[in-house]
Amino acid sequence: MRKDALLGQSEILVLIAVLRLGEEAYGVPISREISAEIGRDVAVAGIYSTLERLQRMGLVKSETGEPTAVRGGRARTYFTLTAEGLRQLRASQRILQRFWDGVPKLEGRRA
Amino acid sequence: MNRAPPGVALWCLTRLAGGESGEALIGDLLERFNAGETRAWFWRQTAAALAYALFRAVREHGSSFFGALAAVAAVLLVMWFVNPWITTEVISFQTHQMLEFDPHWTRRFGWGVVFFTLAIFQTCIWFAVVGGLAARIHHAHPRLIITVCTTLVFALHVPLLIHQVGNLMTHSRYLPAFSGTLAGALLAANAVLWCGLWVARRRMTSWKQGANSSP
Repeated sequence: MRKDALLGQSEILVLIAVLRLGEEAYGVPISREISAEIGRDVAVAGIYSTLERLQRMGLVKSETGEPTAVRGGRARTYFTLTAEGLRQLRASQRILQRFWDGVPKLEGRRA
Repeated sequence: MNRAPPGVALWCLTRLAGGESGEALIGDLLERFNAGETRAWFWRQTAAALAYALFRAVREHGSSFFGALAAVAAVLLVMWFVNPWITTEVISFQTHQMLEFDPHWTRRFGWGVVFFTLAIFQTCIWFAVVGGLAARIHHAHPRLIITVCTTLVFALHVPLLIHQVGNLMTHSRYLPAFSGTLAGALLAANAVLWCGLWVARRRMTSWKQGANSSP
């Protein structure tokens, strides 16, 4: 298991989206949340690729919901952060924050 | 009321973009499409899903994936040299031998048909071997590798097709040559596709039977 390793950009974005959405975290709102933040459409397959990786790393867990007609009879898969996922996300936040703290202000002059 | 998503895109997603969460992904795309996304959006997402499926296949089973492509390239290389030899030296020679015994003109057309049928048949066998081989070697994602090989085989015909379209623009006498090449490209791609799917299905059936018979 990785100890306080800095997660990748896509991993951090997906973990934060899952955290924000709480019990409603499945592919559609996760992709909308990330698209809204970064200002462009994202590939839903890319989000699932990241979620599969995070699941293998033990940072998220999934649960299958009920199939619905609007999804062609397919069930939703809901994701939640594990305790390890939350710990790693906080660790990544700390690493990035420490790193940014060492950078002079970007506004108005060259760093 | 639910709109109908692009059928071909959905077909591709169902068969090629599997993975651990294939069904959930398709469900999400349908949900967003029914919530108002456009058909172009659905196609973009399908293309991305297929690219991710291809990337996953290479990452997880890279050796068998590239092994299958190398085997396909080797067969096509051998075919490049052997196919014309079989067509001219064997089939054409035998046909002419037959004509010497049977010089009646009304039957010449019949022997011509026999010659062309055998020539096309043996060419299709080469491409069928390509599909079968790819499905056997990369059996983790047989449909994906067969689709890749089918696309490659068709793509190999594209430069010739473009050249012949150029000829066709100058004079209509090039129409038979263009039609022949197009028909050949479609036949070749279909031979790869159907033989590959047949081999993949046989392998899957035998694997299931083996799994059921094991204690």
